[in-house]
Amino acid sequence: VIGSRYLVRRCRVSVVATGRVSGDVLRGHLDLLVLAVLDEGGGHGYEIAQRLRERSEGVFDVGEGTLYPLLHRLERDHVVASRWQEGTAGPRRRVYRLTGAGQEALAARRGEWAVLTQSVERVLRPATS
Amino acid sequence: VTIGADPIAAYLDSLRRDRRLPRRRRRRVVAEIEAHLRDLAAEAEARGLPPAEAAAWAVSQFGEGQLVADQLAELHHHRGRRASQLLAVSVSVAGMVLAATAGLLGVRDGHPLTQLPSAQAAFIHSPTLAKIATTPAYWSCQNLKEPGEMVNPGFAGPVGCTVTVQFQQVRSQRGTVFEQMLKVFEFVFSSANRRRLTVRVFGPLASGGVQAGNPNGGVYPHYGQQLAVRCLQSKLPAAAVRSLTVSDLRRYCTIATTPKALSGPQRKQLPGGRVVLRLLHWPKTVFVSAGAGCSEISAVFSVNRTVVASLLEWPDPAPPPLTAGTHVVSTCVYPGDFAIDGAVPVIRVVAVASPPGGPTQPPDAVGMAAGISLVYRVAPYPANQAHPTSWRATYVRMVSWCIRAPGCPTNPPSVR
Repeated sequence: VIGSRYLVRRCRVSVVATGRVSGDVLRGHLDLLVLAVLDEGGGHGYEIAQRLRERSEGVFDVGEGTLYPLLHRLERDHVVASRWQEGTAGPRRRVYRLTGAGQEALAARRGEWAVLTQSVERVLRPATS
Repeated sequence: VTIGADPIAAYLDSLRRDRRLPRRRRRRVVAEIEAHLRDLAAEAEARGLPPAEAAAWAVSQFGEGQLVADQLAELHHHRGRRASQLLAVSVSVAGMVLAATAGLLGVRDGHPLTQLPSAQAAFIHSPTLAKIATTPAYWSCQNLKEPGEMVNPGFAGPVGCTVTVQFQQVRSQRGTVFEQMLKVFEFVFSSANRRRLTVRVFGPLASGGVQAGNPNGGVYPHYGQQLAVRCLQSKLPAAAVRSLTVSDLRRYCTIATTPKALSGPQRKQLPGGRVVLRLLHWPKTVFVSAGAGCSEISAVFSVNRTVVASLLEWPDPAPPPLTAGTHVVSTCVYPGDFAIDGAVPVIRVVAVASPPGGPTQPPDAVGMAAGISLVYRVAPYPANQAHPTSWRATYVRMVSWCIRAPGCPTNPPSVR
């Protein structure tokens, strides 16, 4: 329920396509991507953006400024939680982590995504007579 | 990429100047984004860019500062609106608790929310109702110290209604956040209010009465008493209007032992207890009534929007024969026979129809007291059975009884 409630909201994401994926395809799915990244472990905004880049092998690059409204919204919806962490070398950073509700939302979204991709795959597959 | 004097600082300044966010959240956002920008710049420098170009590149990765500020401001706006709704709901909840508590406490004398009984109010002179009123099994929420105590919610009613309306408005705007909580408080409040309606009773029994037609022909005289039951007819289920049950009576009706005790429009309709009543029906089920002797409600009338039940006092000089298929109720039982710990059981008995040529009159009420209610379902008189010589022994066959409580059957058992 939580997942479906927050994920249907408007998602303003700047996605820079790098030739293989158009931005419109990813628009609306950034919540899922961020949750999936945080599922590996907590991190601050820069780390989250880096992990997104690395795990997509540079296919998409998130407009990093828009990451913070997204993180704050997820925190408001209790899907993620955050706290300040003093840096060993450098300024303190706000570290985000997934909550229990976030885990549930992520699982729900993963299921939806699997259904979506399989359905798209079936539609795109050439018809065999 | 525009290279100027510390583009990162300029970017952060643009965020600081945006006053749509509260200061504390603004500081957090700026601190978060500054750390991020410095990380990006360091990454660029590691790739060989000069510091100034690295900073400009970092800012370019972030997108327009105005866009980020707009999104954060919009988010905060929603948060603020939700907080105000939460506050409104909380205030309403507190008001509802107050109103419900006031309704529940309203039965206590001397409570500031209670309007004390008027001088005319008197405890009803009926052991039956007295026991009913003090038997917790009969009431969903009651803690009466005295039966017949006048109850007035004072200003709890208006307060509760106001709060309820506000609550409904908030709920319609907000959806389901506090819907379950609202239901709980609505239940508490309505229970308190319902109890107020049901336990209001009026003065002592008075002389008077009317004559009503007898469905079996002739005239059914009343013996000095009339029981007026004022019900919230608009609230009565249609089935209840056709055949009121004791439960309906408790839930929807107030009881007066004389029409004079009714106030307002009802009183005008019942001057001195002499009024032409429109007979609604001869109830198949009649009720235990307030009476010092054996009595029953013999008919239910409608006056304006008031349901009035007339009280029939037994013994009747010419009681109708018991007719198969009808129900009758009598209080003509010694209370000590069945009362358990002072509670009032409803005893279900089966009466058989008057035999041809046999006695038609129940036992004399002399010496009996109200306190136990008997519900008779009149069964056909058994064929080939000798005429009874004792009414109680042969006309009435007790088949079950129980204290009115969950599990207690609501209908008399079938009769073979």
